[in-house]
Amino acid sequence: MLRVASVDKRFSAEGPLVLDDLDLSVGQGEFVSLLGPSGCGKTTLLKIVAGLLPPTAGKVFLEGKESSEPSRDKAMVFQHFNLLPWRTTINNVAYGLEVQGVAKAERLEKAAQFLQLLDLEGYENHYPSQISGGMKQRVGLARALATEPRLMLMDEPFGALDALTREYLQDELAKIAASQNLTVLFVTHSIDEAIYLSDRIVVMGNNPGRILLEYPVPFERPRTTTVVRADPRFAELRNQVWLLLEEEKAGR
Amino acid sequence: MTTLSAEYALLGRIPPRVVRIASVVLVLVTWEVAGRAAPRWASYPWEIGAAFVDNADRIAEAFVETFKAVGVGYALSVVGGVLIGFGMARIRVVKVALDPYVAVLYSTPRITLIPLAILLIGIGFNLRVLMSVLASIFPMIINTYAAVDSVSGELEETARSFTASRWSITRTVLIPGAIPGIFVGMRVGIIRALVGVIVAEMTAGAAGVGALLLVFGRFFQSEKLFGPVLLLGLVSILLTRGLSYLERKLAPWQD
Repeated sequence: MLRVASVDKRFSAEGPLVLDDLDLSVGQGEFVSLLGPSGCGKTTLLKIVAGLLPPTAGKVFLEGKESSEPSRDKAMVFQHFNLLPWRTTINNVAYGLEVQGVAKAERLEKAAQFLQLLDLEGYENHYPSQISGGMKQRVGLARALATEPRLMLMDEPFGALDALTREYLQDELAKIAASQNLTVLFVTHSIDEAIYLSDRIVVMGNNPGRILLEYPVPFERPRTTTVVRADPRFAELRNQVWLLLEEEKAGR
Repeated sequence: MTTLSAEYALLGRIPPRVVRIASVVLVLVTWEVAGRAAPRWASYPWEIGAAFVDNADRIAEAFVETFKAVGVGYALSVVGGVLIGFGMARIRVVKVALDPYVAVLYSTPRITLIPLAILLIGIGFNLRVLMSVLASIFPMIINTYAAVDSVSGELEETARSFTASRWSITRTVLIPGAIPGIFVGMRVGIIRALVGVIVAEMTAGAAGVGALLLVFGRFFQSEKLFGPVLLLGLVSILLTRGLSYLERKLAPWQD
């Protein structure tokens, strides 16, 4: 479904290599996490896939076709929510559809549907400044989902939330991803979060950003954080990933 | 500590509006009594009121003259400042090219430009318009620039990720994002535009409220000086209040 082929990235001609010959693929309906220390280029990779940044070399293919620009089959969720402060909840959710040229009645109906999916009923006419961080990210999620993308790109979407809210939203995302059969590329620096949510964890290293190893996650989906945490395989996988990241840090 | 909390307790029982009115009445009465006791030294409220009514025609004429210049100068500043601010925020070469002028003119006391301006364009209406533009365009430019610049990063990228075109980015991100900054500029700018015109009138002395005040001052008519000054203050408050009201209507998302 998504294939990243030999992508290099430098921010300037003489600048350091931020991504080095990176290959990655994500299957239909698969939830893949990109995990790594800050500065390993995972967000840069996500933005290249989104078409927001051009790669220095290499290509991104979506269902076999080259995909180098933002397109309707991709939608992104951002760490800092990036809601438009001057739009109410419903108009923020409808935003993606609006710029994609969907007629007003239709986009509001879609928006209402996804508001409901994310438990935002009753907040349709609130501005972002009037709702909590957790609700803002629900709006961010609804906005991306409402465009019904084939690929969801999520850039540390729960990184700016408090621990409790983060866990609620992780469970909610796990449920929605399963019920809507989403294909997701998810950037995080939390090992736990990567394990809770993904089918596969791609661990990246620093200087230059590259893929170290991939781990399949052995739990059935849908699943909840509490169930995963109680499973002994959770601690084992967590340790393995941790040791790999430690080793990588010591090796430099 | 105790006096402070005692004061708050007192205020807690008396509504602020009553305190405010009492304060104004107290000052006016004291002033009236003191002014009548020493009439050479200063005029007093009653005399000031009478002088204002007697000179209503001249004062009205001067206000019309002044606010014609303020209106034209402010309108030019708002339109020009928004366009320049947008240009500087979005087009790199515009920013690089205009930066030195903005920096130098913004930090020069603009009153020092009056003699030069008089040499170039005389002491008429144009001078007053020019001074109000010079006084009010920089807060417009700077605040519009800052607002557009602040939505040009992440929010613009967000819009792009949803395949927004350049035009829809302008319509859905840049313009609404600029509104709060434009209003900050407009609120600061309206007062500056007024000050700019009055200063030009007081320096060049041709017409308007500034010139009228100079005339009253030269003839030691202190009772005539207070009325127009108070009226100017009142008009300024109304104008800024009006702008705040307009902002709440146009940009209701701000808390």
